[in-house]
Amino acid sequence: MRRFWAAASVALIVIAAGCGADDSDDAPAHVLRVGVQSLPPGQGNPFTGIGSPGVYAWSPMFDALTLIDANGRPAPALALRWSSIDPTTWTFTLRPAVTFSNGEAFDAAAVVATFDYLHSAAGKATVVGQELVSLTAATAVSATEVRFTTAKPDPIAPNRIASMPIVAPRAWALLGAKGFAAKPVGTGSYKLEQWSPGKAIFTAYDGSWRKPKVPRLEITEIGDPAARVQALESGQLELALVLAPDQLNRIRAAQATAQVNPAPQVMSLAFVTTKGKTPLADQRVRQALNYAVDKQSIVDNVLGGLAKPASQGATPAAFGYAKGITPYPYQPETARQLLAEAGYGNGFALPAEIVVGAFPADAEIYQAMAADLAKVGVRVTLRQVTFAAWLDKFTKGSWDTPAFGLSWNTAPTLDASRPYAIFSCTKKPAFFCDPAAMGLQAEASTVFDAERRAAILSELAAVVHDNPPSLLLVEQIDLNATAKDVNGYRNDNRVINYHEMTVGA
Amino acid sequence: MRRVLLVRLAELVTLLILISTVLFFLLRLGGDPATMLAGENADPEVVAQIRAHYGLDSPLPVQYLTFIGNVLVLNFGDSLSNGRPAIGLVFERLGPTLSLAGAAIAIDLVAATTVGTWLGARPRAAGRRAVNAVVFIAQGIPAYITGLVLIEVFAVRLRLLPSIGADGPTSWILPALTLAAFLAPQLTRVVAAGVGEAMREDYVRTARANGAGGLALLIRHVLPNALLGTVAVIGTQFAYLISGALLTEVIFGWPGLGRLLVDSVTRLDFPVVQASVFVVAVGVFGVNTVLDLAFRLIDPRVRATEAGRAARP
Repeated sequence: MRRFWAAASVALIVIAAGCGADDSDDAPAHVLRVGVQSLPPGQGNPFTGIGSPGVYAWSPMFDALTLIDANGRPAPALALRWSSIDPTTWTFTLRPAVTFSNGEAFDAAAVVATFDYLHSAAGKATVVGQELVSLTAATAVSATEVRFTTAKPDPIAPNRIASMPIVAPRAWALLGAKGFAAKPVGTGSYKLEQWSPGKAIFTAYDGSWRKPKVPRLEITEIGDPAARVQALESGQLELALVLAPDQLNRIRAAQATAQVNPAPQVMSLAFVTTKGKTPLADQRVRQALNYAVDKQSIVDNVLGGLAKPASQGATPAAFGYAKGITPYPYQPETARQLLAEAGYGNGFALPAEIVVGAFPADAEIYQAMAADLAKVGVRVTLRQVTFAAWLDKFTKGSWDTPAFGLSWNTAPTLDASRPYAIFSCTKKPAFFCDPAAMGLQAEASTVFDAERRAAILSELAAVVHDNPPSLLLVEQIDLNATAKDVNGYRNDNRVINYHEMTVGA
Repeated sequence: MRRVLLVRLAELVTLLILISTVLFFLLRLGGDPATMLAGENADPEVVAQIRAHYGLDSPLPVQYLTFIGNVLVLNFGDSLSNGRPAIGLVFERLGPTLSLAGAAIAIDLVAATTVGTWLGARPRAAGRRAVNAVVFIAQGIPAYITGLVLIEVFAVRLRLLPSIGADGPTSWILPALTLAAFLAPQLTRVVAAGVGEAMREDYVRTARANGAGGLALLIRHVLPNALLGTVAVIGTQFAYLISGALLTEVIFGWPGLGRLLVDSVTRLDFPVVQASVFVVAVGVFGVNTVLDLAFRLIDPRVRATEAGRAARP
């Protein structure tokens, strides 16, 4: 028996050593391997989602006319410049000499074809189509010039257009949405070689206007963040995305580089004040709840000091972020006083429906919030629901509880006006409505002058801060990590510059 | 045997109709897939349009009858997430799941038979208590923990084995070991108990008296009887693996059925969920039926009991 075990152990070691893992330290410089939480179920159809997880797999293959830079401003991508001719018309000048990976020419006709699909009944039913409903038509003025019209004056049309990846028109017409998902064609740095369950493999498109430095890209689905970090440590990945803050020390110990990017979301507990009598109808109560939670402690103890307490619905990267507004300080005494003034000196019960797993450490953040609120007498009961159930209630306004978890999300336009519209009377059906904010909100949606618009949004932020529709918690973060031999990584609002990255010396 | 097969087939059809029916109504309590597809800021008209496109606007009984009619011809429809046939997506994931399950069961069987036989056959051997304690403790360690520890040792520290994907023969080792480490303690205890019991039987004593001993005694007289009890356990374990060892698939980035099923439930992708559960149910039923039949073939007592029952007036 002893001999058997000895032989088995030796055999295992020999097998393992013989055909072992990819050589970590000598990671092949010709492959960039990326680990993600999940790949988009719509595979190569870039109209089936916005933001992560899709963006990580689509951005190597596709480009839009614009992209949103780190400061929330539209920057050139397939369009070199743009201007508004009148309040409802925008003209975009396209980048010349760009071709799709199947050889089709990129021109104004391709842009119009993509828009026309997204404006059709089938296209409007897609997530991207929904983002572009304010645009009414696209016209090719010349081969390199496209004109977009909007139903109403739309100062952030170039931001919206950043959500519209341009697909090769002939391939799309030939394959249809289903076929295109399996054989996507764009103008990006990479073209799809194979999309198998759990893994997408790309090869360089050398004719791209943003030719990549690494000839091969592999994106693998690894559901567990700890396993993604282990894969990075063991040299099986060059880039691990969407990690948890408690892995920071481990990432650093592995001599990998932790990349902390502000996410475009602010975590909050939204108040439902439009459905019957509730203590939350009183502005003082809502302010009290904001005073009662120690957000800095959450940042330090739950998020490893990587994030910031939230002062407003926009994050610093978004256009319209008001620098002068500070977070509600942690003042439990003030909170108790405001509750007493409002007639809730003994507190009240506050059931809340939340979805967990959407942000790093969100469950712990909600629990810390509930513990702090309990100290001022507000007895929070957290009810976890699935995202599907949450979404159903959110769209129908059928809330069973007076509070629910909802992030202030400026993505994909990275403009503060977006979340302000959701936390207001304009959302149909609205869960909170402050008529005092409506004027500023309407003004921000029509003013084209950037400076003046920023001032309006700052003013709106102040109004919303004083009459809070939610308990603002923290500005969320994206924690990613690159292996030590990776250079040139950049991440602007989850669009990763794969084409500029290098592996090895 | 033919009668048994026919009865089993009737049971399977009944089971599938029951499962499909319960699942159909349960899934529809979870939310509206049209809203999931359109996104959180979708226009109600667009949501209605999506609902109409997928037939989700018909009354529920009409949807159910259409669904059952399609299931009878094995048509589960297209995935709501990517438009591909749901059954195709399931079969795409079934291969990796079955191969991993097969590898895990093989390791499980070898390890459990070896250790279990030793434990059962040598009740007074040195170290038996220690091994027993290890088996007992191992039974309580979740596969998730074992997986992360194995990755830490063999992928991170020693850099011997890959820990992600299903790309080559070596990629099977860690996930298969993880699953086997979770399953083997249970089987080991069953084998040990079976061998221990068999060792006390008269036929073993007789064999010993006739000069049989050592390995020959174990292989020829003890194991054939002792392992009969393990067949049912292996069946249960294989069924567990077919339905997808989700956590193992998640930490190893293994493209199996468990992950597809959970993702599809999250996205309310009804056709894929229904097709997955259907295939899993057939698989589990099939494995149990095969083991049941094998049991009848191996154990003459079962056949004798059945024959006796049939002969009874």
